[in-house]
Amino acid sequence: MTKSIKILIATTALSAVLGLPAWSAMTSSDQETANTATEVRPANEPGSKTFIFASGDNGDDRDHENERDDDDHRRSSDDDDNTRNALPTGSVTPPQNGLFESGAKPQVKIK
Amino acid sequence: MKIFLATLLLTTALTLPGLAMARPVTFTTTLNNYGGDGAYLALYVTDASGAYAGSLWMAGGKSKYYEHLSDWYRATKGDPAQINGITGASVGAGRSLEITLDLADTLFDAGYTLHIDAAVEDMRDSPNEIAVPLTKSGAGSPVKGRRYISNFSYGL
Repeated sequence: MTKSIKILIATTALSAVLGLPAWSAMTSSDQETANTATEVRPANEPGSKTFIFASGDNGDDRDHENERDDDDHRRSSDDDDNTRNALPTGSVTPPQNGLFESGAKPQVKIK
Repeated sequence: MKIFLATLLLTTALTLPGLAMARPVTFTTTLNNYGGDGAYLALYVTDASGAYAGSLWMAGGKSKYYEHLSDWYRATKGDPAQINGITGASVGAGRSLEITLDLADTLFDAGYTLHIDAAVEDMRDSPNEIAVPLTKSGAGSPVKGRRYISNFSYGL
C-alpha cells in the first residue's frame, strides 16, 4: 500500500513539474502579444506587397495589411464589401476543431 | 488516508493525459521569388479518408480573396469561423512564414495530411501546392512546392 502511495506521489510530482512550465507559458502568452500578432505583419517592410485582387476596399484595415486602393480593377467581380473577414491572430484563441490543444495562441514570424 | 489517495489518483489521472496530448509544432514555409505580390496561403488538414478536418493557418486577411484558395474554399465555403484567431498577413515573395502551433498529438501517424493552397494576385491559383502526411518520422524533411512554395517542413 505504501508503495502505491509513493508511486502516486511521484507521478503527481512529475505531472506538476511538467505541467507548471506549460501553464506558465500559456498565461504569459497573453502578455507577449509581440510574439504573436504584431510580428506577423510585414506591412511596411520591403518586398511584402499587398495582395489585392480587386478594388472597392473602403479602408477596412482590420487585418492591418498595407493595402493599395489604386488597383487596376481587373477583377471587379470581387468587389464585395459584405464579406466577413476572419479575426486575426491574438484576438481570439484558435478554433475548437480538435486540431489544437490548450488554447495557446499561435506564434508567427515572417522572415 | 483514503481521501488523500483518491485526490492523488484524480490529479494524476487528470494531468497526465493532458501532457501527453499537446505537441508544439513549427511549420516553416519558404516562398520562391516568383516576382509577384504577397501570397495567400491556407494550411489545412484532411483525415485518412480525405475529408477536411480543420484549418491550421490562413496567411491573408481579406475573405473576398479566399475563393482563389480553391480546395480550401470548396471544403469550408470560406467560413471565417474556420480561421478565427489563426489568420495573419499574406507572405511576400522570397520570404519565409514560420508558425508554431500547439497541436493534438493524435494528428501524427494517424493518416492525417497537411495541405497548403496558394494564390497570388494576377497569377495562377495553386491549390494543393503542398500535401504532406503528418508523421513523426517526416518531421524536419523539406518538401518542395509546385509553384510558389520553394520548400516546406514541419518540426516537432
